[in-house]
Amino acid sequence: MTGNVALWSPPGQLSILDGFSNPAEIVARALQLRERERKQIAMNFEAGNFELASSFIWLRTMALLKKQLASLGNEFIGELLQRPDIDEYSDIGAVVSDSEAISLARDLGILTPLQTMRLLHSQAIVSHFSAAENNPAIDENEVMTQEEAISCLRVCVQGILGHENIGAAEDFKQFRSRLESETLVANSPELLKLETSPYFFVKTAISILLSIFKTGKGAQLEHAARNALLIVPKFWSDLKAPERWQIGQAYAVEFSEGRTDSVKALHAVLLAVGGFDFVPENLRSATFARVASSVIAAHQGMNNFYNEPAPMRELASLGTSIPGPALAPCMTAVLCVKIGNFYGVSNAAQSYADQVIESLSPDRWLYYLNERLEQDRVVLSELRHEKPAKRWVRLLGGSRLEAARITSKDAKNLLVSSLKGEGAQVQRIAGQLLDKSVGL
Amino acid sequence: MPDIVSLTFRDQATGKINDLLIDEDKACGDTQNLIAYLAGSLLDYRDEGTEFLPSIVLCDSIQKVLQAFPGAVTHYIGGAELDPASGRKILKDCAPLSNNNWFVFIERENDKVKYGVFTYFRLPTAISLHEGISIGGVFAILIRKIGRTTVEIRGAKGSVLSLIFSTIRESNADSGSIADFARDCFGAIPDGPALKEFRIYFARLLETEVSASHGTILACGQNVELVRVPGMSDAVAVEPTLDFYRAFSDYHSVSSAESILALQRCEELLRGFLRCDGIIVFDTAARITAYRVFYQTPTEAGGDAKKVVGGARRRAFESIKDLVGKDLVAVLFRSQDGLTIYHGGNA
Repeated sequence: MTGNVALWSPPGQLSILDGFSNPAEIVARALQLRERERKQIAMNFEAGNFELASSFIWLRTMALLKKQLASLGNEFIGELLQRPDIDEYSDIGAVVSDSEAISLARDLGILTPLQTMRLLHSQAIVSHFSAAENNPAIDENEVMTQEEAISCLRVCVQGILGHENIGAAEDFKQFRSRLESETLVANSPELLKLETSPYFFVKTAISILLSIFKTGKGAQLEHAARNALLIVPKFWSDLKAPERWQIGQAYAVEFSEGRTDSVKALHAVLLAVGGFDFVPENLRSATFARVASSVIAAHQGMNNFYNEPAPMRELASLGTSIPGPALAPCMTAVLCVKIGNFYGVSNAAQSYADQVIESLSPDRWLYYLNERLEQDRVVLSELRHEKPAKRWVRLLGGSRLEAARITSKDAKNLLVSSLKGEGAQVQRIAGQLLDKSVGL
Repeated sequence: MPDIVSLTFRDQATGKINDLLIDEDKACGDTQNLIAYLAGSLLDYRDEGTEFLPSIVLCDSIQKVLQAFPGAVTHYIGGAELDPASGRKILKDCAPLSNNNWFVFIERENDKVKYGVFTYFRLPTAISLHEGISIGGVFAILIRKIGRTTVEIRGAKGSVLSLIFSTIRESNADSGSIADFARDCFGAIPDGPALKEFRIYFARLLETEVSASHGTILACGQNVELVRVPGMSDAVAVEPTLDFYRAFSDYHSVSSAESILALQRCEELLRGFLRCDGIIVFDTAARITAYRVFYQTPTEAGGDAKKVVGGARRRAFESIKDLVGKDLVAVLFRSQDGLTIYHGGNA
């Protein structure tokens, strides 16, 4: 996969706003806000209440984005996030974290790569200042700058608030619809494009198919089954282990829930690729994945230093033998706690994270570095900053990991730099990997 | 001198088994004879006075068959010739180890067989063995007793042969009837997070338990007060009601070992009710409200009798049908020999 072509692309960019620096001018383009809200935001900017204005804009943006994601179907969102705890009765606004929503919006073609990067940056800024009153680590004199607030406002309007209709890219919707309504052939334009698209498009296509297996019936299921038999074997050798586990896990879940038709379809796929090693023996992984998600959500939410210890303690208490399908999110969760963010770490969560870290064998680290790191936007996003990168270097410095066993060039370079203690290099490589993961 | 006539079922059975093996692309005389032996033995298999009802999977590779079953575990017990005479040894060695969770397998290898027991990861809603063997598409024959006089032989390609060891004209177990009755039983449950899975679970549970029973009548009523139903005053009320949906919802939401045990306790009590004489009454929220219910038929009450062929249970069923649409929503009859009749709103 070369990453040159995108199977689906975001709608209009509102790039004109890049040249605007006046908050009133930018906010006037926020079509999704009411007139009263636009005026209040402009007034707060004039009064210098940047934190207040940014928090409000952020909350409205995320609420709208999550509402839009929910309209795609909870089962689908749960499958994309590999969160078995999300079902048709879940409140997407409450259970999906902001960073998950941003990442999904990128995968579904709602946001451009650059908007994704800027939103992730703004999220860190807004979260930090929102929790300032509870965080003794923050100096009272630290305030959000006008530039930071304008940058947050601009990207929220460009990505979400400035569009009359926010939604997944039209070509994404068509692709999803075709997967369930017709049987594609090997030289379908969609499949040819998929071959040259960045990895996350393939990952998303797999999630679409698995969500149809879980909810589809009759002809819909038959089309999805035939398309899965075409797509999965074609990309199996390129699929990372978390996506392979995702397919195996779907088989085990469907079997346990007694849905014979979808089990038969998934069986045919696994048989075609010889993928039964990725079918878990039980569904313990669902519990690990759920708790790992809550650690990540706490890490990225407000008051993270206070909210990380409880879910991290729960994760540590689940035991040290993390099941294969849950290893990737558990590694992300524990790394979030260990490397923290650019303000620091949650001290109370460290001992629980250490319990998990100590139980990780070199093979599990290699699994993470080979199979997960390049798509781990949460950790990569933190590693771009100096302090988390230093903590990462400290964490890996004492390990005896062999760089020769890393298959990806970038991940290998990152490990080599980590083992040499080169924090700045780690920051640089992490930034490159993050760019790649969002399709930049 | 009068003729002495012996009628054997063997020729007919082995002929049909041969047809089934041909349909499954595995015609083999020794295999056919071994299956015939096992089917006959399963009808009333006892060891040390205890009856066992093993489900037996005959295949070429148990590992390939079990690839379709997540979390499968096998234990090899022994080996023998591929010959009907080995059937006795296989059953002697394996049947006492079998139960609801452990099944017997026989693996063919040229003119020999290896045998043992296996299990797989089975949550309450998991696909049952008889549905699961058709998933993998590899050769497998399942032999199991499904009624007092009925042994079912089922192939991975979908061929099914029911051997009914009876001189009475009866039909096979009709899972459609049980599914219809199950639908009536959960008809009043409001939509919720667990309902979709509960429907599958409850229909499977009723089918399994009713099929394993010695015959029964199940009735379903909405807010029915048995003491007010003429002829139905004799009943043992289940208080508190045996609430399958609540137990299932707990399991669905927390998935803890405790919640599974609670659900299994409900299933065990249902099994116990099915061992008792009399009608079992469900409400439309999938709760058992009464058992040992005896219905006084019009004949017994001095009214006009209907001409009914069958025993007391069948007569009771024909009479109680009149209550459907008034006091009851549906009734389900299951004879000792496997005849299943549904009467209700979905009929």
